[in-house]
Amino acid sequence: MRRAETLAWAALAGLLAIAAILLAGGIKYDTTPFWAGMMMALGQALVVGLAGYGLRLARQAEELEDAPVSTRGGPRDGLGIGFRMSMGDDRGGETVGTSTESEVKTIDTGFQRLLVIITAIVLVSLSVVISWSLIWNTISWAGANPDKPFPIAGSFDKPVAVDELGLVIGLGAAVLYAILYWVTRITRQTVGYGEAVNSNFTIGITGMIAVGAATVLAYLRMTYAAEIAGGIVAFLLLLQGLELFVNGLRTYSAIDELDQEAIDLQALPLVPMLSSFWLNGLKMIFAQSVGLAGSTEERGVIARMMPRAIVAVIVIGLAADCFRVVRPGEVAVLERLGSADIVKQADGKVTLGADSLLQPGLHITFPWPIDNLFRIPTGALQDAHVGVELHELPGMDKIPFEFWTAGPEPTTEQQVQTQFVTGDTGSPQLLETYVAILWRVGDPAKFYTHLSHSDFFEKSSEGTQALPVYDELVRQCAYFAVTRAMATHSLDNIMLNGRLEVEQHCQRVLQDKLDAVDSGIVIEDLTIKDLHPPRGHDVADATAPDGRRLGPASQFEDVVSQREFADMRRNQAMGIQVTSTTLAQGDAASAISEAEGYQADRIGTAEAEAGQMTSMLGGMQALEPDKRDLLEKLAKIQTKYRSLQDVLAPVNKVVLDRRVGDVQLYQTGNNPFVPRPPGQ
Amino acid sequence: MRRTVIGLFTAIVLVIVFLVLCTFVRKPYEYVLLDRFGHIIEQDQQTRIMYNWYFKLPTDSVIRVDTRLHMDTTPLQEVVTSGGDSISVRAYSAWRIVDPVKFYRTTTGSDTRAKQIMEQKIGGLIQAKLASHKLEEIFNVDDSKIHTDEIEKEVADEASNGSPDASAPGRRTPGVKDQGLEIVQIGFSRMAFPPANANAVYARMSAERYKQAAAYKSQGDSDAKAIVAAGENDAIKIRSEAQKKAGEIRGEGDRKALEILAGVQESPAARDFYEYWKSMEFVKTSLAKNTYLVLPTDADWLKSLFTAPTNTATQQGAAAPASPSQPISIAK
Repeated sequence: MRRAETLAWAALAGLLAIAAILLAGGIKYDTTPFWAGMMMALGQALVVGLAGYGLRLARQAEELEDAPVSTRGGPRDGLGIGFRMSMGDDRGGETVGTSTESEVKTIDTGFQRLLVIITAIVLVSLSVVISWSLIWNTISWAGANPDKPFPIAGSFDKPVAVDELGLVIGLGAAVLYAILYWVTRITRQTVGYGEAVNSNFTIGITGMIAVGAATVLAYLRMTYAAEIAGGIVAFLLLLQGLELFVNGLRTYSAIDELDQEAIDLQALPLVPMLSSFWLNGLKMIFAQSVGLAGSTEERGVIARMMPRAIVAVIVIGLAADCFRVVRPGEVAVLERLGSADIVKQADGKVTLGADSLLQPGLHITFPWPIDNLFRIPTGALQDAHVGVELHELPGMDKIPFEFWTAGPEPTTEQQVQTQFVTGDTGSPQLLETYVAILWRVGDPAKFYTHLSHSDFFEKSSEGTQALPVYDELVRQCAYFAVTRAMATHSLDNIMLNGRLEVEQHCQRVLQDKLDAVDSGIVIEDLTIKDLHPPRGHDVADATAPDGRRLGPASQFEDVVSQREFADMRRNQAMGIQVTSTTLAQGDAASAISEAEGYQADRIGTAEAEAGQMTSMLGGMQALEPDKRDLLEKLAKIQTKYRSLQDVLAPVNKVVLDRRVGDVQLYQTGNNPFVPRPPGQ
Repeated sequence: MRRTVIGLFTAIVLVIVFLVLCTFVRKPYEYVLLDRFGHIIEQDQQTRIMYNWYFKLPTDSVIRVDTRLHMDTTPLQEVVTSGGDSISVRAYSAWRIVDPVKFYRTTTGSDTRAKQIMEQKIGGLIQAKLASHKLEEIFNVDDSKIHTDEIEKEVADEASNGSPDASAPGRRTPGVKDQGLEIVQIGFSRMAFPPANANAVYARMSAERYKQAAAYKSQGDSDAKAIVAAGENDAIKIRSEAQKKAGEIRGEGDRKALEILAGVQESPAARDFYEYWKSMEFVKTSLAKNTYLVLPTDADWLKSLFTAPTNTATQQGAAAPASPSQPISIAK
């Protein structure tokens, strides 16, 4: 027990030394594995310190008491086994009571539990600190700034390189930790007492190896290695903390059903609680699985099956990786140990050999890492766009109406990003557009050999976005083509009758641009989905008729309104014109009809009179003159009397005899101009 | 068993360690350099195992250089053309690494550093080249007058190979080829007006549209008035034409009636009778209703009515009323 205690204090000193070394490294290099390793060393120093304290108390009790502790249970058979039998955790209290006079110092069991649980909380907290403040922050920052170098060491803005000194610090800490692990291993002298310290190092050695490896990889500028090491350390601390938490709560009384023997926490305070039980189990299964344990008869089912299962998984995995399926709509370039059959022809054209270009279907290849497939979607259409789509009105998400002048006014950045200048000579106009482009890989050999597939970093006010280089090439060329097409067409041509021509021009320019760099990309379709004058801003203007000068889009709408209004006025005038001419035509027809009636009347009358005369006088010329005279006279007389009859019939007649003398005739009536009888 | 397992495990670990530390695989589109204690070993000096699988020393650093096309864009910058107009320009460049050793020595293999060099180079050249062209040479409906292609080629060429050095004729300033890079293509992906100018263009566009709207409105009013006036004119014309035609029709009727009547009045007796007949008709028409006719009882055609029958052959008929010896007033 004394040796175990000595080793515990030595381990504590070693861990503090490691923490100090890593603290120095952390201050100098500000890298995750140093800080994480330091926190682990400090957390484990707390555990080891408590274990050393427990061993010290146990040793003092043993020295003060007459009976050796080993006779009271003898912890020789393994971890915590062999303590004296106890009916409960507090049985040790009786021992304390009986040895009060000997001044044996010990700790109350409840207080032991409290200490262990506090230690567990400290370890879990350290794990959270490592995960959150070191790993998560770094990865989040790297995700938001993919264009900046990954901060392996140093601050985000000022990364530093891990040099040879850093290498010495990281590897030195790991080696020192490994030495402590080796020194504190369980021997016959420390069995039953040294488990708490040793299990501490057994858990932590993986983390410290990770710290050492991460330091080497950081020296080689490998990204994310530091964060992986930090993650391993945080996981191990979490695991240890959770186990200590469970240990602090579990019972140490005997439980027959579980073959658990009782442990006397008064005889050996803290140490049983600080030991790791599951780790021993795992070590045993691993040792038995790979045949490093003793006799095979002791191996369990899991241990016996483990080697075969591992081999089977590896074999099945490799065999499955030999069968590669190239899906419809894609081809795959077979890279065998990094080599593909690329043929450069005399005209500079690049092709891929049939063995290297796998068509859709099942292919048998060597497994990874010998053969690697690079899949290229040749059938799938991919999209790109230029400009921004018009916003939808609030509350009309499912009704995609888009208006030029509705919604918020554009920001300056939006204006600059979305405007295109037309080619109207002398007075270039501005237009906003949204062009949708569909493209696909038409020549996989060119696409594979000429275009980098690494990331392009696009910076904007909302952050940095990472795009594949070929996506960005299509996008930039599309912006170029739209800019060029707009620059060579007038506003009226673009907006009215030349839209289709602009689209075709745009697609032609884009394809030429992509072909010029042998991209292997084919533009399948280019559509101008939206085209409108910029909204601009409506501003107060005293010179404007309404006291407000409209933005271009509003003014364009006003032009359309006025054009329609002018058409309306013309149509109204045409209505009046039609009414006038129609009425005139009616009048004309009426006048002509009347004239025709007059003509018919005149002719009819003449014909009637002619007929009457012909009838009356017909044949008279052939008669004797006397008879003819008589007939003519008779005709006149008849005519005279018939006319007299016709005249006299309707008129008022007054017949006066000459003998009547002076007669005056008056007509009565109201007409003042008519002569009246005298006196009236 | 224990030794076998340990031996096998050790062998596997050693093989993996050897493969990882002492070999590397080069992709078809990569150029790989080895940094052996500061000494660069080029690709043709490396030892190949098979395919693109190479040996290296564990201490060698593998520097992979992607020789395919890379992309970069310049920030949106404001440029003044020779006419004094400002435009915002963003250019993209497609570039590749043509001399990996030079590239590594000048940029330590960093794409970011290469982009910075290129941005500076291209940005300056864009300003210089566009400053010697007018706005009409960038935006013009006549494609033949646009010089953008020419500008792009000049920028790409001078950025790659360097510009002529004004201070030393025949010499050129350094280009990105000196860093092992080559610019394959440059394109102006954005060409617009800066925000301040854009607002002025908005005002101009608005004013132009306002003028157009006013023109539409006044043209509509003008057209409407012209259309109404034309309608009225047409109506007058139609009516006058109709009057003219009606007169002709009436005249023709009269003419035809006269011809008909003339046809039956060839003999003097017929003409005499017709004259007498029409005079009777005139009298009959003239003496319409409400006419008071005062007749003496000794009128020829009444005399027989008031006197005893005599030999009528000796009597003279008279239709006209005899003038009264006394004043007679007939009032209507």
